[in-house]
Amino acid sequence: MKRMILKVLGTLFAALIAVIMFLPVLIIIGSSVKSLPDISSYPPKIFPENFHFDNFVTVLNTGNILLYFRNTLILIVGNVVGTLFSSALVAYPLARMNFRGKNFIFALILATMMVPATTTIIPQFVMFSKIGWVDTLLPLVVPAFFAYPYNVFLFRQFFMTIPMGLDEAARIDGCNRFQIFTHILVPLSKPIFITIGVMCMVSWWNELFSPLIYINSDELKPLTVGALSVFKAHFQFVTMWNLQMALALIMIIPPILLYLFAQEYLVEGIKTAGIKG
Amino acid sequence: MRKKFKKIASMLMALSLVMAMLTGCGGSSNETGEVPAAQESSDAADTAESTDSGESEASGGDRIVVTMSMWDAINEEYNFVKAFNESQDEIELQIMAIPDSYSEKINAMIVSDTAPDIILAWECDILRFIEDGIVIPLDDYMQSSPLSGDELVPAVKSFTEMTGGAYGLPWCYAGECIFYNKDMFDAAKVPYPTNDWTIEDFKSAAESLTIVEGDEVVQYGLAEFEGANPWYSFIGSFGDEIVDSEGNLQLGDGTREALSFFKDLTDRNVMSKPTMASGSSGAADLFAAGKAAMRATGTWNASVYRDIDSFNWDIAPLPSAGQPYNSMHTGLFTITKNSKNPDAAWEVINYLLGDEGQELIGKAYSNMSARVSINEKGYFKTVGEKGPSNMEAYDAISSTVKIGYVLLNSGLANDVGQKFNAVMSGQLTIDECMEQSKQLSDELNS
Amino acid sequence: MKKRKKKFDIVPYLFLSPWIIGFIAFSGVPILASFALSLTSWNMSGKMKFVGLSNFKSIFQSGSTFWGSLRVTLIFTVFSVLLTIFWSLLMATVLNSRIYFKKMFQFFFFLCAVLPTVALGFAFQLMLNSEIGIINYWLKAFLGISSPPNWLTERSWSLVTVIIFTVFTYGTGQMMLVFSSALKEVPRDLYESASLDGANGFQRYIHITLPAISPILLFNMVVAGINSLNGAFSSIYPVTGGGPDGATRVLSLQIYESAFKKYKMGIASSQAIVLFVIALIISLVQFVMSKKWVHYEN
Repeated sequence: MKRMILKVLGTLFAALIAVIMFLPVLIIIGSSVKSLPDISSYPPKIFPENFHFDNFVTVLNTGNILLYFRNTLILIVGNVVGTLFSSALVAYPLARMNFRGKNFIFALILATMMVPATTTIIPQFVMFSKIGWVDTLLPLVVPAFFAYPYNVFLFRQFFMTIPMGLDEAARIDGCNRFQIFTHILVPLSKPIFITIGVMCMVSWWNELFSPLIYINSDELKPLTVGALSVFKAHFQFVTMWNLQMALALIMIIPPILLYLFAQEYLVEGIKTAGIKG
Repeated sequence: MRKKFKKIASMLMALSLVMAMLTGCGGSSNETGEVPAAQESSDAADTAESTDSGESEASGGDRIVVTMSMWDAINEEYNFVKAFNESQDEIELQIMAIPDSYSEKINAMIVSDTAPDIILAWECDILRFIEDGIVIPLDDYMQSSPLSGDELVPAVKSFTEMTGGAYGLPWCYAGECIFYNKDMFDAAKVPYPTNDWTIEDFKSAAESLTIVEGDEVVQYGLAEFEGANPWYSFIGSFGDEIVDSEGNLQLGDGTREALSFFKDLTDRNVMSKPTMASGSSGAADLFAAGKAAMRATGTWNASVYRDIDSFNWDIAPLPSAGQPYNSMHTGLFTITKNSKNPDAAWEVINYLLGDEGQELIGKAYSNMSARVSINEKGYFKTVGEKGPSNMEAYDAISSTVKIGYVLLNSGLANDVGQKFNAVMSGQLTIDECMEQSKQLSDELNS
Repeated sequence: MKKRKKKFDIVPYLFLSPWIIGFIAFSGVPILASFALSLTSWNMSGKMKFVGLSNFKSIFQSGSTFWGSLRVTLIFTVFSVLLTIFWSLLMATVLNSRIYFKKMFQFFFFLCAVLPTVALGFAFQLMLNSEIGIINYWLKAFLGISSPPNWLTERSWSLVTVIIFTVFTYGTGQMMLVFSSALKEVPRDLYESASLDGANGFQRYIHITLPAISPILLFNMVVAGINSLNGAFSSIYPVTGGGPDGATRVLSLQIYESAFKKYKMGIASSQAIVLFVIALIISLVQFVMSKKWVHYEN
């Protein structure tokens, strides 16, 4: 009996935390179906009396929102493909070969993980502007094809868990090292590919800083950047908060779905990244 | 595990399919960063339109493309881009819309050689553009334009003189004014503002319009200032120079007086406290929401407020605190050095400054024309169901506008505006504000 | 040890080549270029001028905005690390205790971590608005606080706001999961012997659980430190944009503004160098401390 009371109390406490963590989402949901006067009505309510579902229609018809969405998808696909390909390739020798400078290179990779993006943004911006890439999606996608340190690290950790004996056996069968990579390692590493793919999707769905710097044209903005201004620009200095929130709701649905469907990969990936040093 | 993998793989597939569909209509143009789908769809609309009006020539293709950047959205009802493209069949005008961080983004484009043919430049940028040789002089072109002689309004003309030649021509201009809720004035039995009201009239009106119930403010006399906007006009009216002849920020006693005047109103809840952390991103427009009786802001807001249907409103000039002052806002058509078709770009500018173009621009944004003869026609005086009616206010505004803080770097003007608001919310003393503003200005010029 | 003469093997480096190119192009050269740019005065469109160390002199002048920004960065980093560590550990502990609906709670606890900070930032701006926000209304109506804080426009409160906001970002979710799996690995028998000694739940937590996961605690602290330097821009920009009056303008925002709003590339680069040095120090700390937790794990 006492155990059960404790369990109920624990659950109530958990519910309290859940409410706090869910509150912003609730605000988004509630405000997204308000009219603009509802937003500033006092006392404030989470949900309005009349639901304005037409907000979503207005949002989808406003300005370049569909283009923002398309751009975000381009960034996601480009980065997922690029980073999976290049990071796995780079992680392979780090996990399964011996060569001079291996430890040094691995240390360097770990070190670059720590460098904040803002420290290199100015020279990078100058460089991309000189080759005419500013205001294209290229500076946001191309770097992914040159191995992202964090993902290299994750791949390496996973490759280390696959028995070396398999490589030996394949070599005896006449495979070269590239074939070992494509025929043995990659098929056995599907989980980590999915994990990194999912994490990359989430992070590019949410990415704000680099597109804010590199994209000038409204037509090339991803959702995050577009969302910051679209409901100010089209209505001049008056923020249409209800529409802004409807857009926010549209923006939070894909990551929620991704979490629901790919939960275990996401969770596993984050844990691996965290603990195994 | 395997099953799960399949599920996710199929999700990924579906996603990329959706994406392929979405990109399909955009074509491959995004590789080069050229303006994609939106433009195409509007092209389609243009073509359809021109067929309707009997022109058989298809648009695009062999036309010379001229690009122009601007921050405002195109008003569909008064679409000057479409009007220009239909007015002739040589040139195709395309708009690069940059609704956010305009100044910064234009700079980024210039650096990367992707600047449009025509930059609708801000006052704060044009001096730098001239100095760095980014824009070309337009004097030769102007011989053939309607802008010679006394056609330009004086404030604009003095600006052109200041830049040492016509590098930029104003697309329209605006000042600042008080928007007021007539119903609230009626209810409080406060007489409507006159066109020569003083800061004292303004103060007593704001006081009478404030309604407090318990410790709840039900109605504010005056809404907060958003960012930099009306601050500098009041400071000018209290007697400060604001920008000296070298383009540096100059704040003095006028600023102190303005700050303590509004701080007093804020402390007594006559004016609402600042609600936003940064800049002009208006959290909730208390005036539009019917919670504040007055709001001081740009005249262009008339084009937003004309959709208000819940109360009657009107405009009044800013009250004078000694010296009538109003900050002028404009944007200047400039042609960039790297433009491949400067002549075609001039054609565009010439059209937009012509009678047709100015009419559309005036109506679309409720902004005044820099051309005297156009201004007299009053195209900017578009009226909504509930306001405005006091059209004489515009005359008072246009006779007091001065090019002022808009010459400052927009980052600086904004930062200092935030300091003013920090005084209002009690975060800075007036002395601290003055000292820190000076330091900000010095840092920028170091 | 026997020295083996090996033929130079090019293959590993071929596999590494994407990273090598990327490192040179996107990290190595830019970092060196930052050093070079920090010695110049340049507005990006005009001429570049060599000015020696005067940029550093000017940013470190007393009372400069840069000092303010360093102060904000320090406060933000320290308190957001402490708060997110505490909160993620709390959530992980709750998830590992005897409660109903664990799966559902994990969903709610973790959800915000995967959402765009831009969208959450909108929600924060609205619910913390001093005039129409629901938080202050609740504070007034339910807790009887007559003049609740102005979360977004009072200097110190706005800093509190952005620190609280970090609880809803990716880093916290990540730490929660890491803590959660660490808690699962605390050996059962440790608890059993303790309950025989008559220790209550809280005592057990302090004396057994915490020491057992202390390496992870340390690890997470460093990760949180790095996260708060790296992620500060995307968690502050959507909420306050660095305002009011610079009260939440951390280093990365300051660099962004100097470079892309005021076109002071030299100044911005020298600020970037300072940020780089700070990140370097934290990395070194991590490197030194990492020996500890690796030792624990084995």
